[in-house]
Amino acid sequence: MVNRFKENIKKKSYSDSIFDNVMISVIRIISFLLIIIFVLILGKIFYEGIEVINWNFLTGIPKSNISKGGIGPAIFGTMAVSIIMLILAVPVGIFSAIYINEFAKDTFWLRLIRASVNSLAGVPSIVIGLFGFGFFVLFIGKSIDNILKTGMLFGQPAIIWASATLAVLVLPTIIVTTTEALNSIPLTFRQASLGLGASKWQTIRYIILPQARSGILTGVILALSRSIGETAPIMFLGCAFFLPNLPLAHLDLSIIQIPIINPADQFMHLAYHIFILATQSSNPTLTAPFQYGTTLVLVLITLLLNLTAIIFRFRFRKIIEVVKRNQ
Amino acid sequence: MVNLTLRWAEGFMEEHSEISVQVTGGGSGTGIASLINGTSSIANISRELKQSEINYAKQNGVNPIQHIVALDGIAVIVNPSNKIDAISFSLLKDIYSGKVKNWKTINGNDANIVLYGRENSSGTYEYFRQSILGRNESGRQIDFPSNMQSLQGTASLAEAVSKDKNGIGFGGVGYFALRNDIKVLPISYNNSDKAIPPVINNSINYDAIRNGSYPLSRFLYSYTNGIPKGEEKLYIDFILSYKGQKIVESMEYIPLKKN
Amino acid sequence: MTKKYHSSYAKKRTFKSTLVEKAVKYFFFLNGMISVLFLLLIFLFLFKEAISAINNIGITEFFKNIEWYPTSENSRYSIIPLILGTLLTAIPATIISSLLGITLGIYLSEIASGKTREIIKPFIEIFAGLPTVVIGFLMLAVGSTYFQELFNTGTRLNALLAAFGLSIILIPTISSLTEDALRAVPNNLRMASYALGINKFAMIKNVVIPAAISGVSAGIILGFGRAIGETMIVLMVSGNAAELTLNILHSVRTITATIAGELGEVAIGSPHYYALFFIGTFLLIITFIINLISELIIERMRKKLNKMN
Repeated sequence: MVNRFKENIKKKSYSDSIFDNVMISVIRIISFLLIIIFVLILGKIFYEGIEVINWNFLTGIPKSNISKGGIGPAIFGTMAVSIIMLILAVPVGIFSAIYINEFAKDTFWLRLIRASVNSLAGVPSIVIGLFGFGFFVLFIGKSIDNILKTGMLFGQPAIIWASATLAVLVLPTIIVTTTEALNSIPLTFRQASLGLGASKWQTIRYIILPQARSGILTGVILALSRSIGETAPIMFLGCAFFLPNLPLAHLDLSIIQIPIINPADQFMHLAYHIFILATQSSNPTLTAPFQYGTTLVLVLITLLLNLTAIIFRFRFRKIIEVVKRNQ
Repeated sequence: MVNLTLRWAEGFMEEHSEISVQVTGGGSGTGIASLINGTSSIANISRELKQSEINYAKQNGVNPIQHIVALDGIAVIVNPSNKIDAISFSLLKDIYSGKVKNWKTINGNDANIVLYGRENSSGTYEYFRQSILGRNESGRQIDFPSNMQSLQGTASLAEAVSKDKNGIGFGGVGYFALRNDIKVLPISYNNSDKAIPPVINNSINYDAIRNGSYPLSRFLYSYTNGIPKGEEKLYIDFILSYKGQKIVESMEYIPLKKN
Repeated sequence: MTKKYHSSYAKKRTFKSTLVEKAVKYFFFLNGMISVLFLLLIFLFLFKEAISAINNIGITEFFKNIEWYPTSENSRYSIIPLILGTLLTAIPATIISSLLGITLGIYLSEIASGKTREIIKPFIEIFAGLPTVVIGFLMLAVGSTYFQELFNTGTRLNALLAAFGLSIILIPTISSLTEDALRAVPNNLRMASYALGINKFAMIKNVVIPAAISGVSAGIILGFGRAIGETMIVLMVSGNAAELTLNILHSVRTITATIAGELGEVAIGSPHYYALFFIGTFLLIITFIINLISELIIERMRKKLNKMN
């Protein structure tokens, strides 16, 4: 490298400095153009979508071939799938991260787990969808049906299987972010807690987890945002073109009936709805505003989630900085 | 056909509020599978069951009975700027088997023909291949050329052809009838026949499709397990009733009889 | 901790609490293994179905014949046109996004002021998380018309259009990995070069980038892996023609789009069904290898930078 420096000094001349300025400007211009393109893309979605968004659109049911009404069931379905996905993925993901950061020593197991998390993160979502269809629906679902004699209740695409598949998809996100959050809590905290006679579990439960809360939350939100935007894996896992009823079952408590999400039902989904509108609408001129409206809703949800994640991450870093300074 | 099934279910439940109809979607494959597994009592599908599927159903103790419930016209579309105004079966075969590659050959502009079609698992793809391409002299099935684009829905196909001056596509006539940015071609069975339009002034030419003078149409079917009884009979009767067939028309399919 | 106490009570408690500790540890270990379990399940399950495909169809069928006609009476299941289609979208996408993404990364790390970076960085990161179906839809509805006029292509939906769509999600990925890699380069290298009187661009080109080259290339490889595995954009805008072509302006069919487009309607247990699992397994292996390579490169960079510090 020193030789290269010397060469550079030799070569250095006035024309070099002009060339340098030009290249720096080129980098600047390309970057600004890229940012403008990104702004234009977002702007287009906002401009076209904002017109149709109102209360009826957000809560209404699609009518006359999705050209009237709203996208209420799609929003509901997206929420239903995401909630069950979170229930399935978050505890396991956090426990997994706790093992990686708090229990595991640098052994074969830890290396195996870390490598698996990284590899799992790199599996294409369509392959995870393929796995979800083959494993959850056809293997697990069919087996449940055979054992419980429930006909084809579970052995077909449904909310529960879509949620389970998405849970596998976002598991690495949750594990990696949570591990990072736990890792940034100073070791002294653990030593102090253990020194006071607290057990490992007590230390984790009362010292580590509360401190890492916003860091963990960042991971959960990122996972949620990623799962909401995924379309490919749910396409054959129970996503429906149009359903007249919300996927609800009623829990009968004799006095009142509590509606709960029916995990064995099919569902509508925002991302899939956009795909459907873009490819199968019977009258594109009528449905175009709906397309942009639905797109804007989905984009807004993911933007808000990502923004929240960024804010939480920022807050978490602040907390850690304060903690470290006070040591 | 999911849309149609859903509207039928809604209409049926309005008349018979005591009966609840559950509709699950998916392609024809899903419908057939659930009928064979005995989990659905009725399967609405856009093609006839294959002999192999009937055999498989019988092995499982299911006896599929076919009911013809509606008609669907398959139309061929081009860009409005295209000079071609009508087309025959043999020309369609030449175009969609890749023999004719330039519009010039059939008195159009000097430009390459861009073929649009549907996914290879869709019923429309299968129907079009059977009725237009058919078989060669040695009985071997003729396939679409590999450069035919497969679009995810008839709507995106219509959209593509409306923007592509050299495009040609096919699909359910209901998706095309109301659009003015594509040209729906009249079709003749033989070169000497008069070409019959499936759409006249943005409304479907029901009579021509029903009486078969428009040559590209297919039936839509409902399959029940055995002769329908009780609730299933009520449902099939409803589909074939005036109201049920009115729903067919409102969904841009073709009712079996003139209403 | 409790060893000092010799009362029987303390002994009991210790015994009990070590048992609890062990149970707790075992519980977390089981949770820790969840990723291993699912990765294993994914591989086992896909391999199992892929082997069924080989038994049903024959391994040679997937690589000879060069045609993908799974629903024909004389069905042909060659993966070759699908591989070509995948590469024809992923390689141009990676090239475009590497050029632009690295430029943007350099800008963010070396040129932009701290404030500008703080605004632009999150904005760009948001794009990496934008649902791909949204980009697919916009490319289909708006982009396709622009690009057809711009490049005067015969085919409206083609590999290049898909590559541009993919770039929208790859650029943020590559730019932020580039920026991370560049910022990991110790500042004293920059200071030393300035002290030697080198201009900024020369410094970036000759000092910073060489030092961060493994990080940057890991970003490119990760981007390529993502381009190969992405589904919705290519499904919606590549035109899905399984043509054997090397022309970037033709319609192509990728492995991902084939699975997405065909799995919904395929008869379960048919050769076609198994064939889709076979190409899925192929994709899984390829992306696995690609990720492994980028993983190794990043590891090497970490060691190198540690040495430098």
